Amino acid sequence: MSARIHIEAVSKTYPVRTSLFSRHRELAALRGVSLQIEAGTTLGLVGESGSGKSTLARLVMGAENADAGKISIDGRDVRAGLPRAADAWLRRTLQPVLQDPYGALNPRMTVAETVGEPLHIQRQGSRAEIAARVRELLELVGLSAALATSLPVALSGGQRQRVAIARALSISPRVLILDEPVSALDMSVQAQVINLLQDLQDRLGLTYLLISHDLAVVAHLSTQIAVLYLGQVVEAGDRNAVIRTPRHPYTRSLIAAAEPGGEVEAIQGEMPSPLAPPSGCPFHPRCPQAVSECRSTPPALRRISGTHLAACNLADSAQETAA
Amino acid sequence: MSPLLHVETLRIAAGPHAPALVDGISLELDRGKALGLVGESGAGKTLACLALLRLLPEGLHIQDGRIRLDGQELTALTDTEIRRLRGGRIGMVLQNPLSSLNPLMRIGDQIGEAFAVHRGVRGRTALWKLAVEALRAVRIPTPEQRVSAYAHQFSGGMRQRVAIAMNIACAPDLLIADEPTTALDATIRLQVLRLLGDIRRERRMALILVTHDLPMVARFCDDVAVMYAGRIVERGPVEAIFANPAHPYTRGLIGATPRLDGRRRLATIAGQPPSPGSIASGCAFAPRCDVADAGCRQGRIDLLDLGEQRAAACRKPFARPPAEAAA
Repeated sequence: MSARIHIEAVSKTYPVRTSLFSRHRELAALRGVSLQIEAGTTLGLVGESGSGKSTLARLVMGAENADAGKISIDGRDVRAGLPRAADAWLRRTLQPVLQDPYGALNPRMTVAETVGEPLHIQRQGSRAEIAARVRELLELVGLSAALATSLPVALSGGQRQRVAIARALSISPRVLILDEPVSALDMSVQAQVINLLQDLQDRLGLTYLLISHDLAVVAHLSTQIAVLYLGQVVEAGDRNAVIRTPRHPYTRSLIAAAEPGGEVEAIQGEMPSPLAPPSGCPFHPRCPQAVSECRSTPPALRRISGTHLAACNLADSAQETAA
Repeated sequence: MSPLLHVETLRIAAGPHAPALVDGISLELDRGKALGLVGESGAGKTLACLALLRLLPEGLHIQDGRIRLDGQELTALTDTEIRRLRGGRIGMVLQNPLSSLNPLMRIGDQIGEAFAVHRGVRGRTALWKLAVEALRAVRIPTPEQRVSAYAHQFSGGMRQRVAIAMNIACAPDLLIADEPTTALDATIRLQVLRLLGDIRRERRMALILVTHDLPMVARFCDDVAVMYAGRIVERGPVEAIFANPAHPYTRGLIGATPRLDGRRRLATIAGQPPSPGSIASGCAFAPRCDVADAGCRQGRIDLLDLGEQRAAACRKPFARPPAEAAA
């Protein structure tokens, strides 16, 4: 009952104006991104603001269309403006869970109304059947049945996020798009929701696309990790391979930033604007190891071993320094 | 030698009979040391810091307690005196640097203001010269050019550097940084923290880092104070506490922190933090605690000296639940 997601050579460009009177310029949010998510697993996307991770999530949700490339779930096309039946199938297959559990809930609807609403809209069962399903969902996400008649204002942040998850699960989707699902939560509550997401995946065989700026959260939940930088995948692979033997200097710097005591050199500077990406390797202006080749030649995303990929001209020599 | 900062039984509430939001906290901080103040939302960590600068939100007051900076009692200062202290001997950096930067003022004028107010420097040329040096101190590239820019022309990380430059311009004895890197991307966060660490060492400035990020505290602070429901429940040297937490809440927070190594299940703390005033007696953490007994639900549980500069407000320090002790 789970789904497999294919993302093939996807690019997305937005026209932007940097000031009222300037001409439109092209902002390349995604540049030729290819990823696969196996059924029942989690792909964690990491990257800084502007890296393109939220754009990719919107494309996978069919909220927007890519300029080039193709996205499919179990071989079926995903895009905006699908024919009615295909669109309905997509909505049943895939549901988002967003960062802000405050904004995601209608303040005037009770917990039971919020969780049951998608079932009413999709006409899935009688009133009594839906009520029973709502009770089941609340139990599934660890919410007391006593909260069913509460309004969002009476709930804590963690409880609201559980309600949002229960609502997303109401129509039995097979894929959840998790966009910063725990970053608005307090520490003790964050751990509860992370454990809940793991339990739900184990019990329901869900496929997750997880987006987070927090590498530790991604490392904790993901089967595979993809690192985005200026709209490109710079490293991807099994979680252990990426975390334990990172091959891209940017990945190494993210790990150093997340792990106490990590003594990798802190990288300098900031990510350049996607409006003016650097020549050659997009990371070269900040890279401690960059050589002249990196300024002119964009590195291809190459296979390091198995499913482990890295886009670094020095990936092979990096292996030696890491060892 | 007496500590630079000495807070004693600080109590903050809306009135003498209102529930305390900060409930009798005490702490000491030496010159040049960094203290991590950790806890979840509503624990009182930000209020405690605002009280040091007498910047409490409307309606909240210091009901009790003493705050001494280098022997000087801050709670007794007049408004004029405390204003001179802010940005002078005590600096404060907030989570969102835009809230401390004026969008209509050039950066040079804003940083210059600190020198004008606290040092009596006059004249734009002189002030901008000092501002350039302040920007250089926070490693902003080409400070001679950036000094004439506006806040919106800086990236998030650079804005936070500007806010730091403003607040350390007058060489404060103490810098309070309230979630200074929460809004920043990972690699930028590390740069800003390293900068704060370097400045602290170069200038022997004391630092209070308010955060919910435990790995960050472990890495950049000497001491840690863990707050829960308005009280300090554990404090002491960072290494000792992270290696072997005495308070069950500290242990819970450490267990709940996702780490890069391995997909083990996170330890969780059941339930949520209490609202102010909802705990009538006993330890505020008892309802969520896995080792609490009847004795934990009565009386007042004060910080207990554990030796080696550690203290915890727990009747059963270092206790582990039976399952964990057996494992």
